[in-house]
Amino acid sequence: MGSITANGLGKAYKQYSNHWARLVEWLDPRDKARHALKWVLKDINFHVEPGEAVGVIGVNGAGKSTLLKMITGTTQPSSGSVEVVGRVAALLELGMGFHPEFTGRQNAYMAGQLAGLQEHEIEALMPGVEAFADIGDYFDKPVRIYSSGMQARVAFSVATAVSPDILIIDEALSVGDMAFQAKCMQRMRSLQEQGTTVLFVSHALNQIRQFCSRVLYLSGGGVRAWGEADKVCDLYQNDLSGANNLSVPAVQVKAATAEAPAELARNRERDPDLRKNSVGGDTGGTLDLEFLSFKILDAGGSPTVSCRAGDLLRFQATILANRDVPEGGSVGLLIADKTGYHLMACNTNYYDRHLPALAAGECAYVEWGIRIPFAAGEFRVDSGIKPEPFSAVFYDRVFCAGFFSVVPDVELLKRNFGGYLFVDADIDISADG
Amino acid sequence: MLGMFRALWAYRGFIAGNVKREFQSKYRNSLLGAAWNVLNPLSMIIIYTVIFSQVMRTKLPGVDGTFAYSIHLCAGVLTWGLFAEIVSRGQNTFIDNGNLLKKLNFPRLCLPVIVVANGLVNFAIIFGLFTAFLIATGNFPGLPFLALLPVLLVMVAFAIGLGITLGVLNVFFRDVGQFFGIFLNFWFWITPIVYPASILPERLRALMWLNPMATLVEACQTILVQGAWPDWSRVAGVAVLSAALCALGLRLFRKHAGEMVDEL
Repeated sequence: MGSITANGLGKAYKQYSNHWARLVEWLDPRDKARHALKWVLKDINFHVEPGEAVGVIGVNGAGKSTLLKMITGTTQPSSGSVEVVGRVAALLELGMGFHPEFTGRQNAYMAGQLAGLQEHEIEALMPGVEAFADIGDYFDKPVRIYSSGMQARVAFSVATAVSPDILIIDEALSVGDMAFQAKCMQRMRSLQEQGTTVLFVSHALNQIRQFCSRVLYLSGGGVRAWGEADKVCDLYQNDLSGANNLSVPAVQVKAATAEAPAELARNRERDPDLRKNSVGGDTGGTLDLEFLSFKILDAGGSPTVSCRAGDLLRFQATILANRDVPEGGSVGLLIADKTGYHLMACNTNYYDRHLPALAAGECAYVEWGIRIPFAAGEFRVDSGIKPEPFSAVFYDRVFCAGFFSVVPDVELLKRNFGGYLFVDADIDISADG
Repeated sequence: MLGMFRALWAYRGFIAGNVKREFQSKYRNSLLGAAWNVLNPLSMIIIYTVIFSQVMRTKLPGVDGTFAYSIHLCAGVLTWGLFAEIVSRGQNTFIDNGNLLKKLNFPRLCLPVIVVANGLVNFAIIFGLFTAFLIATGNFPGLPFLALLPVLLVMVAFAIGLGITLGVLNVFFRDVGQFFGIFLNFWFWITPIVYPASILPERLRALMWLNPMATLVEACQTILVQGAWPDWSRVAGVAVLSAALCALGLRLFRKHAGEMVDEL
């Protein structure tokens, strides 16, 4: 069965200062290098056991695809080595090098031949491939008229038709629809149960958490973390939201004079990243009151991006008055799913809490302590300030001020839980007779 | 070296499948389908014969027969066509199949092999027709016809040696492909295909041995027009050159195969 061992694996691309430099290097008998090496991966070490499911994560450009290409053998390592035992089936960057003029069936044939299968073997597998791809008449139409999802369907179907020792999937599923993704996950699971080693690149952390036992997290051309899926995914999410580098230079403002609740940390630092997810930046507010920062903290007060159902999260907003404003302002907090659909609203006025009158230069500090009712999912937080609850005018508004995800309970995961809320339910089942 | 051939043999299904699919897809959306494969070369043979043998009344110096010139022409044009197809497709095969090379791991030498096989299939069809024409018009050269086999073998070796060399270079220096496209035109005209070598001034004829294609094309013409055996010593010279080119091509290929994918 398939195992993968990487020893000091690295990949560098040659960069020439100009086109002639390469020619000179080729022709010059003195063997002098005239290129600079650009390392995209350096000193990668890991070992994947047979039958293991391993996720590979990292931001775009972290070197994930390059790593997979070296494992597959399409690209040669520049340093170190990668030892692959077993037959590899790989889906790199959507599709398997399909020829656009040939039909899905012909391409499936070609892929089978490339995998070293004989014609009659492919013949026998074809009905299964066609059924799994499930694209109807399109299977006998040229691939050039396929949607990217259809290509992914055929490619995945072909790659997994004969159970390989190692299956490598590079974001190939992301273009498929929900139903197909679910089907793929099932097949990957069943292959894995039969002993196939699976290497899986995805940006869908839920899939990774659900499917992989260990995760390799690449960052800046090196291994940032390698280990238990949950922990590495948490680290990745923390890194993504920048929770680890909140120390930003402070903007000088006058000392706060307004009284704020004693337990609230009075931090008047302006977070420059606060509005990076607000499209356009112009929020249409009057900015008489302005958000300086917005933070999500755990019960202990340290920044966090993930929690479990029932955990206490503290949402903190620091608001600066640019002008004198009367009392009565209310601050909105909306928690939405990834698509922006509002799931929960906790505006301060619902709880009869309002901002006091503020003089220019003063700050107000608002904190919500909320026990998270969600059982699973990824969420974003929007916040806004209005002079009074029914006003159409905003003082200020920030979209996607923060993100957090709720890590589902293992017991729920095992039961393939799909939803945001998990509630107690009385269930009665009866049958005839 | 042996491992290379074993790998190619293991992928024979892929190679054969590719040749078959290419043949099919060429005529996929046409009503007459594979008939075009025959009609295209047939029309060419008819044009050459009518224009040069009937209309222009050209005759080869020293050779009798109405069809002598058109046979001379076909012997050159058809074999040149085989050479030109293999070289020009060989020099682009790695670039054209970049998508495949980047996503799948397979013996990359399959690609030039497919180029040769495709060229030979097309050549076999058109040359088969030409042979039928020779027999029908009573111009079949007889036993020397067998000499075509080694001559064509040398030509294919020369073509693919050159094709792989240019193909590897073309990945790194795209100028190579552009330049060779132009050069091929000149090469066609400095090779005695349309005209017989005998009309050249003595001084130029002495330089002809520098052009390996002239040797090979002339050998074909000798066989097909005069029904005589070719000058084996000169063909052997080109054979040595072809072997050297193949060796050079393979060496270049093996040295840069890894880097090639990074450039595509």
